[in-house]
Amino acid sequence: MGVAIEVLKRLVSRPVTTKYPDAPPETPEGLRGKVEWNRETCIWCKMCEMNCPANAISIDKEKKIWSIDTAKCIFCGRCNEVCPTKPKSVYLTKKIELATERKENLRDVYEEHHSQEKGQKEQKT
Amino acid sequence: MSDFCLPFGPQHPALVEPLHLKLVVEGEKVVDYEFKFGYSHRGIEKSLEKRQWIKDIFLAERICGICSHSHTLAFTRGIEALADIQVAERAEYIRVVMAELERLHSHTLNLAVSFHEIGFATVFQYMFRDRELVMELLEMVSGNRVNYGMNLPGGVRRDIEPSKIKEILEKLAKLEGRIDYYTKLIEKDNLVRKRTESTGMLSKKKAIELGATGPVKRASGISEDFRKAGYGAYGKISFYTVTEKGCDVHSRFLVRIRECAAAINLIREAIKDMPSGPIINKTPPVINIEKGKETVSRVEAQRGELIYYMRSDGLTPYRVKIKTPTYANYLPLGECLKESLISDVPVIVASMDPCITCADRVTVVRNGKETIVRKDDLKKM
Repeated sequence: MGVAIEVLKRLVSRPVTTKYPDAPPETPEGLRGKVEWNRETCIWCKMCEMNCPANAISIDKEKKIWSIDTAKCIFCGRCNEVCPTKPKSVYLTKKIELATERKENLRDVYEEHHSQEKGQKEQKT
Repeated sequence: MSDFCLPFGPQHPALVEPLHLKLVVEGEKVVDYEFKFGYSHRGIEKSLEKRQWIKDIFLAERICGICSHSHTLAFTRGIEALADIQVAERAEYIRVVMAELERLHSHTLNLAVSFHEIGFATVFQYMFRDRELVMELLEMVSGNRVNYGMNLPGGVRRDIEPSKIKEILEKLAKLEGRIDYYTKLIEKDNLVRKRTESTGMLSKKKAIELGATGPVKRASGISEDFRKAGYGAYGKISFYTVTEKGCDVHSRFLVRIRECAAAINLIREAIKDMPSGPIINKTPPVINIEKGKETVSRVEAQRGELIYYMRSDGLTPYRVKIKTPTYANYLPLGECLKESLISDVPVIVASMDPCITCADRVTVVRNGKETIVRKDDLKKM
């Protein structure tokens, strides 16, 4: 009997599901989404590369290339935690819609040249 | 005597994960059983040996999707014991809150699936709706829904701020009413009772003999809960454990739903007693532990007692042996299946709350030939 009353109650109440594909998803503050990188503050210390449990981040210090393979990323946020700069140069965004048609699209390569002077200056501080 | 053998799984509508049961049947009655494991063996124990301690925490988390926090808790407590790391006091309470939230979501998931197996799909839908409250809380606290990544040696990675505490208490109050409703439903509903009472009997004697653990053991009238040993902050918080004397599927349902209510109380107590202060005692990203040092770390996961044996090899573990609660519950599961009807098999399997991926970490290779672990091997272990 108990269930019958519950079922009748549900007939008049609003649905609990959200209109997800039409409306943007409700994400809480501090959600661990896609990892992104800020070239302005990076000091090329390689802490994120060394501490990544899934080896998703790879850094080429000479050519100034920072890249992440989102297919390998496990969204643990360890890279952000160990990053010594302020503000953090590796950070987690709230982006969760990461599906693509090709696997190559999941690999983010940041290739632009970083100013040598600025890099050295920040390493000292 | 018939020796008709009925295969159950590895692909079966009633099973989410691949477990192969061979049931010897006489008409509708199961008289004997045989297990076959190893369909989701991933070699995680071996991979643990190749990584550094802190990276291992994230791998250990991925052994099971439901008890991910328990796995990291056991592993982190092991590292803390090996490297003599003091845990921040506030972190111990946050760990308790996370562990109990996880217990809530695991038990409601299992009960929902069990209701689905007995053909009560309406309650399955309602329980999944209410489980979403807990999932939202876990997502809010940790930032992830499944693998929370909360534990590090020395503490936890994320704090529970006052605004979050307010939301946790609000949602728990909502959930408490629902849990009360389901408790009454399981206690009184004729459909549930007729389907579950005196099915899958596991007597107290057999439960001790075969080494059952967790809710399965507590449903057979044995009051045993490793949390009572007082690891972490459990020693400082007052809480109660649930036992039932029915020994059947019905009492396993009751133990789980009452443990949900107990978990809600426990979270409230933990939040009330939570001290202020730092959430982590900082440790270096690379931990070096003296070679040959070993420890055994135990925690009470949702399904029972989870045991980690760890031996150090400097920067990496030399060996990590994990004993998951599902593994301990395989033989009691077989015992329950004996003398039961074929139509009750899915209900009994669901009532044991098996996590096959959790337990599939053994593949025996002898003389280069892979063999599969069978029932007799289980008894030897």
